Amino acid sequence: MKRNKMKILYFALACILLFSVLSTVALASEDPAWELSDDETELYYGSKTFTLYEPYFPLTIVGDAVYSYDYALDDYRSVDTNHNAVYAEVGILHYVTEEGTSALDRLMEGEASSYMLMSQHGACGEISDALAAKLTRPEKGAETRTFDVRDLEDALYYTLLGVESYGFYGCAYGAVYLYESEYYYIHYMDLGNQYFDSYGNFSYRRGTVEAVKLSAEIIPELQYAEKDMKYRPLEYIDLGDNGNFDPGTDDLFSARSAFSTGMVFFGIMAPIPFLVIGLVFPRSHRKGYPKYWYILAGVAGLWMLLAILLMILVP
Amino acid sequence: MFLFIMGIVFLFACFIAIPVSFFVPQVLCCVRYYKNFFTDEGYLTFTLPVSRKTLLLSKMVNTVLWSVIHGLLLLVSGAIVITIAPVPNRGQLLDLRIWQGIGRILEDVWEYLGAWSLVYLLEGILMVLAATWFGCALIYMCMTIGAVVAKKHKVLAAFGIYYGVNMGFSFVMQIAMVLGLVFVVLPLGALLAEATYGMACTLVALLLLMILMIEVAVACLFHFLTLGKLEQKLNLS
Repeated sequence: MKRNKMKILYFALACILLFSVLSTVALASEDPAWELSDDETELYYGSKTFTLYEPYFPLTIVGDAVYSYDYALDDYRSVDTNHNAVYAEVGILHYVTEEGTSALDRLMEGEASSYMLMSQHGACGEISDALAAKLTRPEKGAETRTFDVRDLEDALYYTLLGVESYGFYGCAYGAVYLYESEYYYIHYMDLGNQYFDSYGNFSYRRGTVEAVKLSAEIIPELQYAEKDMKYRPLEYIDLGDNGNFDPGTDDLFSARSAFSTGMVFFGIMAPIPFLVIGLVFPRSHRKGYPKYWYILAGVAGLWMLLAILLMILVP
Repeated sequence: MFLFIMGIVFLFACFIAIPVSFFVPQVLCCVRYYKNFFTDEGYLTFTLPVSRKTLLLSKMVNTVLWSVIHGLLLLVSGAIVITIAPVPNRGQLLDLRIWQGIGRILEDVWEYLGAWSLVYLLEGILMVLAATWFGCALIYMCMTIGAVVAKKHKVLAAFGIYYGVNMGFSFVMQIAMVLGLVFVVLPLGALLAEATYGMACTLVALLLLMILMIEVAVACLFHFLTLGKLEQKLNLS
């Protein structure tokens, strides 16, 4: 009877185990996986194919772009995509669908869908197409000034970003510089490669550029755009070292004092009761406890020895 | 759809069962301890040609062993789940990415600590064993005191004593942990920045050894108090 009950129990356990294993299979994800071709020129996601895109000008993800990240390839590199999965990034490589390719091609040729102004710290705000047109296509006869690029290195500037139709990538078309209280615009798209570094950013190492002085009527609109930069990057907050010991001279002294105090309490005072009990109990004729209490005294002694060793060895 | 629902149900059941099952071996061992020592079976147990010291030691070793085996079984179960659960979707038989991630972590640990990782692993194992022994010794001590002190309702008395002792001990442990953090761990962290790599590893190993000694000392105290009560105060009625 008992053997039959055990058989029923084992059978029930085996069924439960089988169900558990099968049910994990049933929870299979139906999402397709990201796969990269062997030559890394194509990225696949289900039926979607992204092709490697090498932009002529560097691309910037604009401040209000929404994107997903951390899909993993087989080799654990992450794939970051924009929210409607037209663009995907693997490291510094850009992969785009056919729709994305045409959008980026138009962007590279100077036909942006919208424009943004971006500060040196990454804050950006949208500007009107009219203002962008006034910047990129100045009036005939507008005043110009030739600058040595080294003079502009410390000047405050705002990058004019052309943004493609999906609102994800921006391309630096030029920049507005504030120099000696005057606003100047330099159109990057008209400059040769010698003005840019290996990352495609404007270089202040050498060379001269011609900048257009902005007319007075543009300036209020430009200043309004400066104030209206609502997409700001997360500010770095320095929490400081409150509550932590900073290994400087004074803090190290206080760390050493605190550690010594702690070791005296936890390493020397705390084991004393154990040591006393372990030594006194076996010798107590009245109580008559056995000798195994000496083991407790031995452990307490070892405890104190380790604490003393720590106090000696700590620098 | 049916299998999907069953999957959710069984995953939920697993998350409940694992922490609950953690206590089952200890509870079963405590029940056996009580029955073997403090009920009618005790008359037979204490007539065996074995000293009470050996009897208690066997019970303690048994409980620690079963707790450790159960812990290992839980680890094996977890290993099976993380091997089978991630469904392969690239045509392979199993998706071993979690194991590869664990392998990378272990590689990084070995690269950073070298042979010291083995020392810390050994100390960690000893600390787990000592903590298990400490837990069992505390329960057995409370059960023994309850059985010795109370004439009736020995189990209830044991529960009450365990509850009181545990509360007092937890209170003391919390204060000790806060003081230990402020006066030992944090200052040591700052001082280790001034030490060489070898010395820093040695100091951490010594600190872990000291913590192990504390666990062993308290476990010894409970064990010997239990033994003392069994040898001198036990009165089976």
